[in-house]
Amino acid sequence: MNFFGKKSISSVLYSPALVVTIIMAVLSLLVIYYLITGNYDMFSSGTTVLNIPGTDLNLKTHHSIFIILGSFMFNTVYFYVLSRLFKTFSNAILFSEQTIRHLRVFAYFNVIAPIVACFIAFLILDSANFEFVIQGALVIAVGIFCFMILSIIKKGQHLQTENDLTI
Amino acid sequence: MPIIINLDVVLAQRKMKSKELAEIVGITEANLSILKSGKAKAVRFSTLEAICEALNCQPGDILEFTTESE
Repeated sequence: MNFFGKKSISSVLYSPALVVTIIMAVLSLLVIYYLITGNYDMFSSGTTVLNIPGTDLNLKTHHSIFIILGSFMFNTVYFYVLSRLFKTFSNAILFSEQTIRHLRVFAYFNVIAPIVACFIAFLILDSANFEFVIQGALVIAVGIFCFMILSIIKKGQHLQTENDLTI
Repeated sequence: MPIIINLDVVLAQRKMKSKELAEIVGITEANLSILKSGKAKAVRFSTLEAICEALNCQPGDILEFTTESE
């Protein structure tokens, strides 16, 4: 199976990425709802308990509600940008301005977002740990790899243009 | 670009239309337009050969080299 073009892995992965985007967006809105209504408990141990309205049930997590909200919002944007990229990769023409634009956005997001997230976690929330930094470094590595693919696609687009303009 | 395409001039001399030439050569009118406007990056020998044959001319009649200062 091909990675690019119609009936490729990219076209198959587009829908799951979009579904994850929607799920993450809904979860972000849910956490914002908890923040607005104050229907949660935060303990000094770092544990957060989200009380489900109308029931005695609750969701317990070992992270701050702000970390949870930040993660969901990050994932919403991440999977949205990723779904756009998969959609572009499933087009018939790979070497296009659209592919370059979407890949550039995805690469920049992968490099900048973890740095911003780590900065916020360190300075504002004071809760960043080693695991958090490692995860951020991995995302940055993906971003750097995307920049490498971007330069290949730019060269490909140049060759494609030259080929199209050869009569 | 220092290479000028004089296809329009040769077509006018032969009293031939672009559409007609495109059909004889076997390229699209859009590609012929790209060639005439000088936007083409390269011309295949096979295309050049077909154009020369259709217009009964030499490659030098179609292509002209000029320096940037001219």
